[in-house]
Amino acid sequence: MNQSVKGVLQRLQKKHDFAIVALTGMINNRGNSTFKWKYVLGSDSQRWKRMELRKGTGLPGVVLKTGKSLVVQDVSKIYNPEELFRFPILYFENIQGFVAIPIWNNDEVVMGLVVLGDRAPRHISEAEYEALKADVEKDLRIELLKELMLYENT
Amino acid sequence: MKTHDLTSLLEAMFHQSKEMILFVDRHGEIVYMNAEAEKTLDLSDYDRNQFINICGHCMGMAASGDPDCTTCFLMSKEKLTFQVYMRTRYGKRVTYIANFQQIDPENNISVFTLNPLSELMKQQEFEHQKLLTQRIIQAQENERKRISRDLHDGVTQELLNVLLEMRLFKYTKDREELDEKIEDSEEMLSHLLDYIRNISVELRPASLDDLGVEAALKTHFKWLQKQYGILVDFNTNLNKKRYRPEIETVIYRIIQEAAFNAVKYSGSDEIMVNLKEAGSYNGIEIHFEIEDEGAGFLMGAEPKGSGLGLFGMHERISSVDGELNIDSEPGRGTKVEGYIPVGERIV
Repeated sequence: MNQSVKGVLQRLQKKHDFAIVALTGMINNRGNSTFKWKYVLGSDSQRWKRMELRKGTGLPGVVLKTGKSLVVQDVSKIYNPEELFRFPILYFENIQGFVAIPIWNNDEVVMGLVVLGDRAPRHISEAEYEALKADVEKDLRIELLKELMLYENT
Repeated sequence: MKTHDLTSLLEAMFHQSKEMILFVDRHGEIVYMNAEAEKTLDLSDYDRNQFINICGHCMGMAASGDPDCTTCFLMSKEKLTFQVYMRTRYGKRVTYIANFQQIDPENNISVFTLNPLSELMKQQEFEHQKLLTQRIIQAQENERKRISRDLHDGVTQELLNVLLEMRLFKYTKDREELDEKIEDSEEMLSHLLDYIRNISVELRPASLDDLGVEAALKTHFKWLQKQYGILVDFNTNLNKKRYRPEIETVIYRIIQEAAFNAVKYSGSDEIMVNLKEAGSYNGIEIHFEIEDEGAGFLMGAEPKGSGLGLFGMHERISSVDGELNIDSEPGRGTKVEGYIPVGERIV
């Protein structure tokens, strides 16, 4: 079943033409306050596997806090290099433009976060974003919920 | 315009000027020189013959490194702002910024003016210092901004959440619902505790004072791995030994800075850190080495960041009479190494 979440990510990456796609592991409200990146497609480094994410910090922190998507077309215009270092995934993967979308479970709690990025600034139109968001809702969210149910039953 | 005699003004300038002014002919014979030149280029050390020719004082031009006479200024009609070495009355070699200009073509007389370079350097040093101070203030301001943002975004926000949640307690009649709310608040508070602990460790780890530099570094490297996914291969023989607090702080901060630089700029996934105590003929020394096999950089090139990091490292090491050496080459990686004499351990 992991294969299918990965499969959805691959489809998203291809369809919307992003160089890099990153998905966090399941974020629980109870228990652990840290989580990790579960899949990063298109990375040429192993760093993300060791990174531990924290609810209040980094790019996931920003998205989790607001519960809203974040669209940045040109990273260098928003963050200077020093600030960028606070977002290791952007810094190390050299992401210059990206969309970060929170994924909600049925209890209206954010259970994860997907980031789709490019290594060059990227213009993302309203229509493009809506299409992407719809795909995340329709495919990725459903697939993740399935996975969640499987975990709960074991 | 007031009626002043130009000649007398020029004369006054010539005699009172703080720069050396000499008039020479085409062979370099000194026709006239002002008081400053006479004071600086004293004749007592030389015989008269030497004194009357500029070449008796000049030690050559300093275009690149060694004094050189191959392109002597005497051969040109005009030469502006060049460096020249002169022998002064104490036999010392001093660098000057000079101008040479022919003013009387008929008699082939030129004027040669000299300003001590050290004065110019002082000015440059001052400007440099000013720039550095500005940068330090800027860095300080950025750091405060960061801490303030951490406190505001993290701590204040979370506390507010807990507060709101707790206000609801008294309106919650259902016991089970209340229990859930209490549990939620508990969870939030424990996250908050974690968060604050993180901020405080990032600022200055308490373990540095309580347990020493080795323990503090171990914690820091673990944090680096979690935060940035970097592996640190840490080798040490310190074995929980303790040193004077200022020495431990210097070691910690320098290694922290060098490791940060490796994380930021090397692109390498792994950093090697060695920290060793060694005996030498004048007591105990601590040797350290931070090395990566990443991108490296061109020594002496414009720094990628503010440049304050390296500056700070040098400042810190000189405050404890240690030495620091940085070796890097594009494509081969970077090695920062140094040692600090520690005098004695603290038991």
